[in-house]
Amino acid sequence: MTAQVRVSENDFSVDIENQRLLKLSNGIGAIANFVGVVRDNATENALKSMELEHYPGMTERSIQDVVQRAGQRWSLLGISVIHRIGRLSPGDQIVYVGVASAHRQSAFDGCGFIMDYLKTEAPFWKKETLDSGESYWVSARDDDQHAVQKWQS
Amino acid sequence: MNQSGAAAGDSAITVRLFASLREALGSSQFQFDLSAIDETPTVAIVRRILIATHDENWRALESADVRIAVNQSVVDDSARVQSGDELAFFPPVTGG
Repeated sequence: MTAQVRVSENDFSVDIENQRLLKLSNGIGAIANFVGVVRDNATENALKSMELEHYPGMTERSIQDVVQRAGQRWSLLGISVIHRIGRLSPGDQIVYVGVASAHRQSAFDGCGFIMDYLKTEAPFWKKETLDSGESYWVSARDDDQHAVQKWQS
Repeated sequence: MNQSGAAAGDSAITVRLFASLREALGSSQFQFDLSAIDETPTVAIVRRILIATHDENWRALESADVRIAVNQSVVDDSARVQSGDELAFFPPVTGG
């Protein structure tokens, strides 16, 4: 299985990334995608912008670690993960996950597994600024911990 | 607060703080000298000294939800540290 992980300020094209994924291996019959997007209503107030901080080095390694675990658990042919950092606006793409396999179920499962673990393990932090000028660090959600637990049963 | 790397000498570790902790404590990275510690240095000992030698904001390092990494691997506060190590404290992650 070939994997690529990128942490970058730059936006990405899902079409281009899926085309790259297809070239990583022969025998691909399915690609599952997840794209995370900046929601425009963080609270009842309108969101102006979001700042994404990371831990250079550890962030990339922790995503690689999750990707490798997915590759050990399912029969996957290629994985690509892109996570953006820096200042983002509502509607901007934050994260891309592409998982390629011979058949659909392992692609679906691998994609969900990678996102669930990325959200709880990869060191990224979101700070949101509202139109009112108020800003705050986003809190971790219990739901994200529960999402990981379902892969452990 | 920031000791220079040179002044801290061979027995220094690098401490890094991220996100809300970085903002609350007003520092993202500094050197910490282990040479004054008599016992085998651990994260818990370093944290205790950091809190004792700074203002009360630094008690935030004791919060139950603070995550710890040594050399970019997640550990608990019983983990040992040695000169050259990178010790990071950060809040729960919120990426994706």
